[in-house]
Amino acid sequence: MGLLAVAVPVIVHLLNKRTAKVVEWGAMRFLLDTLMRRRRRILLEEMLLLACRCLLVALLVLALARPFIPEGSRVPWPIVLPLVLLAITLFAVNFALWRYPKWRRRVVALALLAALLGAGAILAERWLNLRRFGADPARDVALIIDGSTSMTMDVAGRTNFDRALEEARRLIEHAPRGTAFSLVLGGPTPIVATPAPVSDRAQLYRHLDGLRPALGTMQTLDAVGAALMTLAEGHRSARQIVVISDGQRHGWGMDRLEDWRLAGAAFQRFPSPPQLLLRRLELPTSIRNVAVVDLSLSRAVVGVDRDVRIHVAVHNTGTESVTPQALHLRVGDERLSDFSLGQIDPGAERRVSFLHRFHAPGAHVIEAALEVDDEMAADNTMRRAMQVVERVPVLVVDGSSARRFAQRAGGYVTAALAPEQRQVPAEPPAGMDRPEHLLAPEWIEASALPARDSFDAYALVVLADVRSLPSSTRDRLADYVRAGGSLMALHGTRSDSEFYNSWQAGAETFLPFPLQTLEAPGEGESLGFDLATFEHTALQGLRDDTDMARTVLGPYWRFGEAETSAGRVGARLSNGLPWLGEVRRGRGRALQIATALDGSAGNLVAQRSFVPLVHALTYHLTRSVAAPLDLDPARTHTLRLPLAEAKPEDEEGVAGFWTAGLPAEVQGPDDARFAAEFFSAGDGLALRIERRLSPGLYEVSVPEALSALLTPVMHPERHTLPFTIRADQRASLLQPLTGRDIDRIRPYLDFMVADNSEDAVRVLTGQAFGRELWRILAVAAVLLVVAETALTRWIAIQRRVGEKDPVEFDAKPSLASMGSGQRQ
Amino acid sequence: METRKASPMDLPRYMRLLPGQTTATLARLELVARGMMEGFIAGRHRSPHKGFSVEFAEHRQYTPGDDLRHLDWRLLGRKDRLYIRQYVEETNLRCTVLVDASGSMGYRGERAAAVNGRPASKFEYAQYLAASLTYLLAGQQDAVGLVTFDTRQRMYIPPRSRASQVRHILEELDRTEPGGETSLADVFHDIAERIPRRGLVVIVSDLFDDPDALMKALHHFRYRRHETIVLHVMAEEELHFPFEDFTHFHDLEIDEQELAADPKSIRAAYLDRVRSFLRTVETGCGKMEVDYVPMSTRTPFDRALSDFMASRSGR
Repeated sequence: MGLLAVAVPVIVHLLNKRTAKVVEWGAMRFLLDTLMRRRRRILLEEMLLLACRCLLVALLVLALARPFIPEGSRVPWPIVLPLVLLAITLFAVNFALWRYPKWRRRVVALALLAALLGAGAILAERWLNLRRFGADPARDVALIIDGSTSMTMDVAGRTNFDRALEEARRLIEHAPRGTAFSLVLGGPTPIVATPAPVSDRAQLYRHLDGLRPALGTMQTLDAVGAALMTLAEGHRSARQIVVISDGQRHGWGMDRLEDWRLAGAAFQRFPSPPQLLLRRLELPTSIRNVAVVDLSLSRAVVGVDRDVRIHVAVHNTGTESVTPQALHLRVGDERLSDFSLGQIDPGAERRVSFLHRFHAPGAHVIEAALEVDDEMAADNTMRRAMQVVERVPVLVVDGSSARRFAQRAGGYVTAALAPEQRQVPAEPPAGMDRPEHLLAPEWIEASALPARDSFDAYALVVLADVRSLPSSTRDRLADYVRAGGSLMALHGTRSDSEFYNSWQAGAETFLPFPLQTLEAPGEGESLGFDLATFEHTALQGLRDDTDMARTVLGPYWRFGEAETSAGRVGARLSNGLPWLGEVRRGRGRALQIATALDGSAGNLVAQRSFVPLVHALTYHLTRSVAAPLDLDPARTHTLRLPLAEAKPEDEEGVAGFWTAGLPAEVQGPDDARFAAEFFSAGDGLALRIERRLSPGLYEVSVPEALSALLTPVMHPERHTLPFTIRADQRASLLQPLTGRDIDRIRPYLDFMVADNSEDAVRVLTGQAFGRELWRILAVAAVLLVVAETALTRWIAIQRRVGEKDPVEFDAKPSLASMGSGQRQ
Repeated sequence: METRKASPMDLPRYMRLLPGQTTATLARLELVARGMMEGFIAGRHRSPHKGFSVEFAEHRQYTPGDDLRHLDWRLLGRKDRLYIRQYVEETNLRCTVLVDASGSMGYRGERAAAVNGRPASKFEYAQYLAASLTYLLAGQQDAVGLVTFDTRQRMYIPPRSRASQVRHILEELDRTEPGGETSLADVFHDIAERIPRRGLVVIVSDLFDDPDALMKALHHFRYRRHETIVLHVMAEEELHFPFEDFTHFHDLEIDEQELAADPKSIRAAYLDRVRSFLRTVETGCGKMEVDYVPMSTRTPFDRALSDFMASRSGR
């Protein structure tokens, strides 16, 4: 409507002409002449001025109307807007052309065309917006509140998480009546606060009050999925998902666009696809933050016999250099050491490692805490629960019966696993018994194996060049592996390929690969390892080992590599044939090596790297001995726990428990308490927690009846079972979601971004919003004012040229003076 | 002349053309024809007609600029007064005054000198000029005639030196209203042919016609050996174009012709055009020895006239 003001200059122009004085004029011939000559110029000036003024008014009116480019608009506004302005200008120019009907018609036609295009675009936009935003006031809205670590950052005295909650309250408050909300807390795994949309405000506020930051990264796709589930429970036709977040790129799955496509497909399955609105909270431009991003141990299985190296990585995720006062390391209640890290520049990572020996087996909590004053306190600490294992029993089955230890096929392996006692310090630390070796090998001859009923007591069984086994023993071994045990088969000259190839698991051999032929390196051929192919996890540390590079191997078995086989090659010989393979069978693993590990296999046993090799492989295969107490975030959690002794038969007291389960209480971060359940699983126990847990340290109070059984995984002093949920603290790497990222998601779903709460509320009330243009328009108007002034002045100056010398119209004074001169 | 002595209440309408102070000024003026002039004051002008009688008519008070030869020395000796002797046959000057009565002459500028209480239109200005000249010449016993015209000749009063001639001319002038288009050239050719003996031709006009045609017509007068004086009357507004606001210029000559324009945008070009017009006319007149006298209506006509007289008699 305001654009009608554009008519003002035109009306002024016309009025100027209409209300002009009428002068009865005599010297018409000069006027006509003049006009004939100046007509074009005058017309041009008039057109320019009129266009300038109309455009100016149009810009001012538009700027005052505060137009905006609707968020996610599909209309090319950079073209349409100038088109509208062009239409206005042409419309104005048309009035200057009133003496030229032909031109006027053309200009009017052009103006109409431009105006029609512009109006069409505006109408299309409105129609699209109506379709997008709908007129139906009743809608289901899923609110996803970002509970990631970065939301806990202190921004101007408050955390963004608090802001997000406030924003959510605002949205609930300002939403039209009949709007139902569901709440989802975004985190590593989404936590659904209300499974279905609720319209009871009080209830929603209560839920909001109960929300705490989940920490870690918000996995947006998962959160959106959870939100969709809640929306599916609603019954209103219009649906929206509002993500209130600080818009960290991490967790938005920009590398998983395929998942976004699938999410978009899920959106499309609704009768009217929901919209996704990101309400982006502001982040300060300058951020001071360091985070502990890694806390890991050098070995998968840790005992009390040896030191273990603990690695800590500290990363500056902010934009300013930070100097933490100290890095404190604690194991349980014991403070180990403090490190001074010095200044850490933005984006830099500092790694620290230290040696520690655990004094007692059981569950321990390692903690790395930064003493630093930064904006996110949550990521300054990382805790990790882990089990220190007392013993790892290994059964070495030897295929040869040589009297001399060195001639036995399993001799070197046994020796490597348990070095002589003198290698252990004579004086154990105070308060400790003389430590036994963590790895406790037991050597038996193959002939003694059939006598064993069960291998459950061993973490690993090594078949050292065993020729063959009775089928019953073979089946027992297979069961043992499937139940979670580990098997390592070494193939020397004694191995019987017939036996091993007939040991089947389904269509494949039980071991990773069938044995084809026993081959020996040719004359003068030096067979070694191709270290570049050492891809097996346990071998990674040996890739750069010079000893391994110098190794010369003896006879070896050629494996039949089948493409369908589940077995994977972990290392190869220098001639390209596989040396080591591994396969998962049930819950356990079977590892196979193409050579023996004894004196017949070349100089490998003589290398310094031999002991680390055997240890690495053993630790790798026995890592399930330690209960995994450091868990990834998930929807439900199940901890499998090893027992101190064999599961008791139905006894008094615990009889019902094996079938019905036993409740336990878990205490989480922020003193949150909830229930969990112990239940019987296979040959052990498991703890089941039927809820999503946010990262942090949890402690399970172990019922009295189980405390004896669970000693290996209980804290030596506190008599609780601790476990941790991992946080991806790299999430605090602050990298905002860019416009390009948003554009990449847009093709899949109706995605909008609102940078203030007014816009967010507008979406909930069914209105469009977008990027405001008034600033650009106002600047353009100012420029136009300048242009108009310049033009006017220029024209005035042009006109004044030639007006300066007046027309002389007097009797020549010279004549009069001449006359008077004569008279005298 | 008697009429002048009567009470102003009884003055005929045409006498407005000779305001009191004007006649007083004019009384002391004399129009001196330049060039070869028939029957003009004997001895003063070379006359083609020799031996005509020189009969004394009356005395006239001396005014500075009068030839001392005509001074009545005896009267001076007797009465110690300066008088000029005038002769009856002195009035052989035949003067025709051509007054442009076309529409364009009807333009009344705001800046024109006021006569009888309001700014004079160009035509009024021309009327006053013509009346004054008539009065002046008649007073000198010269024969005066009048032609009014627009596209064609409207009225022709042949030059006579009768006593009633002044009244006749003044009445005719008073009756005339400006209107119609200007077409000077044709009219001038016509008139040039009609005036039987050579004499003085005074053209009072704004000369709004094609300059070339105009020059040809003026040349016709010269060809007929007429002494020609052009009194070019233009309004101040026409010379300076002082308009500011958007204006509709309505043609005074062709009724339906109207022109709307922003004066500011065309002023420079207009002035340029006027300048070149004036230059053409002036140089053209100069070449033909036509006496060209620009007269802006801003200058009161009596002063303009007396200035002209002064410059003329000085030559």
